[in-house]
Amino acid sequence: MRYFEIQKNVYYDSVTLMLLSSEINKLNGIAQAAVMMGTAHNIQLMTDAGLLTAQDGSNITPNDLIIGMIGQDEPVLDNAKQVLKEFFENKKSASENDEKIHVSSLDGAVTEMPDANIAVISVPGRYAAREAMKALKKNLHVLLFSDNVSLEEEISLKEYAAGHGLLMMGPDCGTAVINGIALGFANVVRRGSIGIAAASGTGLQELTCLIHRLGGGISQGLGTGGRDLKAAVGGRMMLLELQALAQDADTKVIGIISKPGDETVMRRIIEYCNQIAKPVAACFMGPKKDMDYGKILLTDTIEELGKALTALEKGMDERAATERMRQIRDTKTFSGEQAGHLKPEQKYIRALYSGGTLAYEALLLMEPKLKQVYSNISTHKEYLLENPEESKCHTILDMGEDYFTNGMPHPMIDMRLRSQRMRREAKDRNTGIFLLDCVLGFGCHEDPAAELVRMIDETRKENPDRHYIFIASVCGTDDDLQCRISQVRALKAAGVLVMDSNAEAVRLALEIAESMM
Amino acid sequence: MKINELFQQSLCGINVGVERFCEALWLQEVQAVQVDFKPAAGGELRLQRILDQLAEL
Repeated sequence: MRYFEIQKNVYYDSVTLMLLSSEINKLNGIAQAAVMMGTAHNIQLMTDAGLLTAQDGSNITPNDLIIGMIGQDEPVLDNAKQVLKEFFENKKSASENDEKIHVSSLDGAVTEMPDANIAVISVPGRYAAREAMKALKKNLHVLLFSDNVSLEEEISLKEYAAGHGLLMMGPDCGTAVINGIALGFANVVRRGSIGIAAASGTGLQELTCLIHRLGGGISQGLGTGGRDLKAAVGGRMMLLELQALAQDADTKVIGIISKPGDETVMRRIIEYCNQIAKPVAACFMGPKKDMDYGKILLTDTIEELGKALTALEKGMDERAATERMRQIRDTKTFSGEQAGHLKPEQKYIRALYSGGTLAYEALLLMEPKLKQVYSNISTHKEYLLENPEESKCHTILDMGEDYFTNGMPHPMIDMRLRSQRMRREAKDRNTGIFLLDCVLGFGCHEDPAAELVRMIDETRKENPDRHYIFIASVCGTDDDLQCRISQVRALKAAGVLVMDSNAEAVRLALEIAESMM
Repeated sequence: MKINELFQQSLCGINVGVERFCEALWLQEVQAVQVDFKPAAGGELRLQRILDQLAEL
């Protein structure tokens, strides 16, 4: 039985609606449900899912809320409608009672808060550039979380921002830490004197958390968006941020994380870094271009970068910092005893990541050591998964990629997709090792370890005759809402091997996989 | 440089879109306003461009 409703001119943000849709889908008797804003994309998604007909969709605007449900009978649908009604009433009551300011436009916001100095923008991609430009023209620095912004729009935004000395972090920038404040998906980290410019969201999260845990601190953690170092964008924001960090009296050491960019852009960045008096360390993740990096201390992993920057912050010279960053923990004691529990055919790693940069780092570490590492983000055509739903051999999945998050909450917020995928991977007789990230901080799930433990328990129950090795790293700090130490304890209690960094977790997975070869 | 001026200021934010990010600012005791975004002109990009041109006159 199908139910459909339009609520005209009712707005809720996409994450709220995705989480609400998830809750409705969990109700007994509901086969399928979605609550979405009436954009053309969402109408198509709901039509494809059988929740809308072409006739239903004819009178919907992007400002309308649409509800579509398929349930086994009328009482089931009535129950779901009641859940929705309570949700909307609670939301209305909360916003009427609390003192927090809600407005309907950027102009209204600036009127309410004339001292505003930064805008965080996370709206659908087709509207994002317009909102970002409006913010810039009001002299606001911008963090643009939205993706699906065109390259031309990004160039236009960054040209304007650079010309006016403003930050234009993004598009597709998920993380920043400014003046000790976490923006987007970010963590509570100690203030200090390490300034970072990052073309990577979870990379910045991993790095700032590692620095915090090593006793270091962050002056500023600035994002650029993933395309900044492409030729067309020219590294505009990376260069501006490096200049700002160079001039910042509280920043003594500078770090850079990015994939290697266009050669001309890289040369410009390297040239600038070599003019700065402060020490600079960088992790350019991916095939290294054959260039003279000068004084820049190069690292291969985010873990190494964290160690190097912390050593430099403590006043160590480059040689000492290099020695420090190469010190890694011996994980052979873990790998030896674990491999013995696997059956001989359980030789493959299945990595289910929520953080894109962490998945990419895993891929870079595994590819040289193992044959046949497939991924939905592989840069080698022959190892790019034709169908991301079907793993092959060793497989690393970035489950935050568009294919998986189309109409679904990001896996850092909602674990359902990872749970379903883990249980499916466990049915493959060749799966032996699961590799996971557990990302904490603002914006993320309030208890990701509990969800991971639940999915691991379900996987074990469904496969009582098999042993699996679960390896994880926890990206966060004890000061995060989720409290890293509590998350680590919960995972360890469930038999998960918890490593101190993503790179260390990958090394352990590799040791075990190599011992099975 | 304006970015360096920002480093010396208290953050005062405007959040446009996903309210979760504004809640994070409020939890950190940052003054922030939440914009409950609706696309202007019913989402019609052409009309939005016209509105923008009119605003600049």
